[in-house]
Amino acid sequence: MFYLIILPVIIWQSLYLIIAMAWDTFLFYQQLRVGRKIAIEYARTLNLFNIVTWWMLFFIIRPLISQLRELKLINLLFFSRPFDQESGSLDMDLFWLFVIVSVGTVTIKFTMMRTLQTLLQNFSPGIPNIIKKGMEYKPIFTFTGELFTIFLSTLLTNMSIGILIFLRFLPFS
Amino acid sequence: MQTITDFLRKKSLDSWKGLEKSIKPPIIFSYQTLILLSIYSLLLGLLTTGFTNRAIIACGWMFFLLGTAWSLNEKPIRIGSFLLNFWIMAVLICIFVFGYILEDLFQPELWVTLPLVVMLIMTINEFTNPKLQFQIPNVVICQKLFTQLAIHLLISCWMQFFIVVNDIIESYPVLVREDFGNSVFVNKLPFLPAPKSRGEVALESVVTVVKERLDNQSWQTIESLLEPTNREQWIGEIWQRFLPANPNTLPINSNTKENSLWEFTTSAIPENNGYLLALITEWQGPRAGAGKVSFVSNCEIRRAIEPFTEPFRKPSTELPIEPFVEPFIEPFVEPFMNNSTNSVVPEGTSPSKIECLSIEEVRRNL
Repeated sequence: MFYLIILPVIIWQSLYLIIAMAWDTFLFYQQLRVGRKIAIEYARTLNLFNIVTWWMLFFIIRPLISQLRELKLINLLFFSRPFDQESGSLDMDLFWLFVIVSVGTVTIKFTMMRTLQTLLQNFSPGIPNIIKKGMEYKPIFTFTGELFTIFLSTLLTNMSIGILIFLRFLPFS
Repeated sequence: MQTITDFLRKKSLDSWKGLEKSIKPPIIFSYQTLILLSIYSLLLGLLTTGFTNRAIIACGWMFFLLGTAWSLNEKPIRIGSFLLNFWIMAVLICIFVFGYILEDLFQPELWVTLPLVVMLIMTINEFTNPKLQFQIPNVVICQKLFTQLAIHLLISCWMQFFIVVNDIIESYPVLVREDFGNSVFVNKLPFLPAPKSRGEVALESVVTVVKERLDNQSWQTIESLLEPTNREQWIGEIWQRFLPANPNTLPINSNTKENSLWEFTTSAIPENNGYLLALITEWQGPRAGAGKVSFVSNCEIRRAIEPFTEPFRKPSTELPIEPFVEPFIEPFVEPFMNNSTNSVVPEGTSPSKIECLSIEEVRRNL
């Protein structure tokens, strides 16, 4: 007997994937200058593997946590509000979860990118193939490292999805 | 007569030849041979029992799977540009593994396994050439394979999440009644009836038992039973007995984690002519709103004035020795009666009467 369906998580995660892939493609193309096709493919693979890794970690860690943490997790999953929280105070567990997920996302994406570069050998940053068309090429940010690019795209994605979730919880009545 | 027999023989021979032509494989090394072998195994399996039967039919399944894979390889099935081969094979393999080997087809793990099997078949297909030799595909196909792997893993993870949330609901069945409208992860199926929460059902049983226990007792018994420490103990024991065994919340199993999260308290307030007993159970766990939910049952215990109490009163004032003999004829022979030092106990002789209101749900804001 099933009581719950997971349609919202599918919708929200697809939304996250679309936004993250868009930012990643844009920044890989602009900052790393790898060409459109490679940028799109790398953005797609990195983001999908990022989400899959977090799911795996969730399934591994969930049976191990204490009951109080489990109750907090349930409140977050089912009701999207902190558990036993006095109004006005920030739940530190949620805050640290957010920090860990953000830092972990950058780490996973960077590791995945290095792995793919080693395996596929088709990703070579710094080849400006726009110049072929005779256009002047300028990256938006002067610092064009791979790690910085991934950090930037994660930041922008988190901000975008944060704005969307904030809008969803506004009372429109 | 001869002609009719000849005609029939000729007809049957013709039909047999037609059948033979349609099922006989064109060459011996082809997928039709494998399909025929699987049918042959099935027929053999019908004649046997026990382990032999299972082994032969398993062989038949193997032949069937190999034959289907081969035939799909020769004649691919497509919807638009989407190739269905791998999915058909994965579904067949899952039916074989879950339905035949594990003998339980419709379990949720099937949906976790299916995308992974599809991915496995796809990878094997890309890493072998038509002569079934190992080869490393080129970079473009590798890139495609990585993306496919990630997508199938993601679908598997979603299915696993579905199983996990439903496991959580089985551990905390009270949550089914809550409002899931705010959640960005799950939704409740709208057409399912919300069952009564366990706390409420357990409280109903406790009220019935408490009613039986307190009804028609002497007033001294009542006062002794309602004394705070004593009361918490014996009503708490009844509560602990009823909370786990809870047939009304089926199909949810009774031994769940949520039992420790129901806080049970009682209070007894003396009224003008008796007591007001409140049995309260409060949910301490996760909830949708800000307030805490509790279920309250109010019971009123009064002294009943019945005619057979009158004869006790008269001798108690006139002859002090008589009442000590008389009460022991009554069924309630409890230890505290022996300890009571009161010589004159007119209240102790009148039996109690208990009335309980129906259980109400109270939402207390913090």
